[in-house]
Amino acid sequence: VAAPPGFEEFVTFRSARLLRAAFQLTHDWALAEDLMQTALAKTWRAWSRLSGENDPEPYVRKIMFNTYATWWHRRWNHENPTDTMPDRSDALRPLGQIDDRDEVWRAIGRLPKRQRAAIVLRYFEDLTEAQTAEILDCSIGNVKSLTSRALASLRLDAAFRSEGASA
Amino acid sequence: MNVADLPGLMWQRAEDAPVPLLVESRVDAIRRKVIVGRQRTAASAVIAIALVLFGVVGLPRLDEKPTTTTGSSAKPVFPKLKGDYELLTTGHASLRSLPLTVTFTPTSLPVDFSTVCPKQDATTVISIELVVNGQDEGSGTCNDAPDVLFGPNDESRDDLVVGVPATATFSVEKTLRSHDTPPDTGANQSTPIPTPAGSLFVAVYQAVPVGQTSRPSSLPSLDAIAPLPYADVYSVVDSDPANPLAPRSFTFTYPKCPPSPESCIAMAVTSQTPGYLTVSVNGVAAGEFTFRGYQGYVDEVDFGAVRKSLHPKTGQTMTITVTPAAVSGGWQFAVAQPPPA
Repeated sequence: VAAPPGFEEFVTFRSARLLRAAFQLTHDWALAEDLMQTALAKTWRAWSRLSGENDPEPYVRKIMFNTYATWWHRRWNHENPTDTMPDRSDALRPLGQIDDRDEVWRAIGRLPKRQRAAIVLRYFEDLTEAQTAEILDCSIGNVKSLTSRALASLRLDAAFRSEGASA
Repeated sequence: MNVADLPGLMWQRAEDAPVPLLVESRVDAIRRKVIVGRQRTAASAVIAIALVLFGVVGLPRLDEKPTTTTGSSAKPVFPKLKGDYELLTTGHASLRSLPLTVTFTPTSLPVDFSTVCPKQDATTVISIELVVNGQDEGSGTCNDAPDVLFGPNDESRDDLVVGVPATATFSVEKTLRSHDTPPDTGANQSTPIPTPAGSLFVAVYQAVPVGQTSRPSSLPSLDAIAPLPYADVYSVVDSDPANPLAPRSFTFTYPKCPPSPESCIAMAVTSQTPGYLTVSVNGVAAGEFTFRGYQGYVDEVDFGAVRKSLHPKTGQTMTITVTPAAVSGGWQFAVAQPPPA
């Protein structure tokens, strides 16, 4: 089966960015690759009607976030080894900072999927509430609700509390 | 650290990306997913046609309770009420004789699917593929406890309609034995193994149809309303304890807000029981909120549209009216100042 025209170019130039976003959701690079490939496979099937649009990336991102939010919960719970394994870059940071940032990173990983997706879109992808709502197929009010509940959960985390819960 | 540090933390973690796959390898992997998806969709279509032509599974009439391919002998491992969802139907089949097709007729949307597989050792992964109405929904691992396959965020799909029979086909995508993952590569090493013995149990759930069902008698008591997620609450109104269906109105004074008051005012509603809460501010509709469960879920009112209509000024009295419907327990509404972004 040949890739549709333009699809390989899209993968070449956009997959690095998509993979980083997927990693924010999965906290595991192998699973992030799997998630992104799943989203791109769905995009492949829809490519003929997307190719007339200016930029298919928003569609891919929407597919990817919704695939994550609706489907991958158990697989990642089952196979995700990162809750107990430090990232490599920890070795480069001062010890106190490792504990703090690791704790927050793990707290993000414990957020419900929709809340985590909202946090990633707002704070990693730097999207507006309206753009986030478009991707998550919900209202702006719902995005605010998801975000505020996620931040409320993170504020319960010790790492946030230690600095006075200024969030 | 605080919220302002979140983007930095996320980007710092993202910098540890592994060596990227060659584009050809990635496209090949995507191609394999496309081919497998097409094969499963085709197989599902053949099964669906066979079901219709040969009556392997009788589709239930619209006024019938849903039935399963496996009759009433399915092991009752699924809870009748699961959060905002109620059990619609179940089915089971030997893992080695899949696919298993379950027919169901939702009376409420969205629907949700759950699976249970035989208990395996920690390294064995059973991946179950799901096709709904001929549409490949992807796959997920199957464990020995009920879990959600795909959840309440698929309301946009147009092939699931209330009162219209639908089919869900479950098949084994793969069975693997996973190995330790090298920490520095992120590689996911695993080897295929034969499909284990035992049965796959599946369940179809649907959202609790608000206003159409009575409160489950199995619930010993209602959960307490969760605290609203803001520290600075201006005003709170609770439902009438004697009559939670009674509308309530209250007033608050619009505070001093910055010129771009995006985060100046927030409103949140929560309900202990399924039902609807309609909110208006000075007669302007601010939203209708649907609650399906008994978990005290908090939803937020988008005040932006109200602000654009009313152009409230500092010190202005705002009258908020909350009109409930179909609730059978307490609810709460609050006007609050959200945490700074």
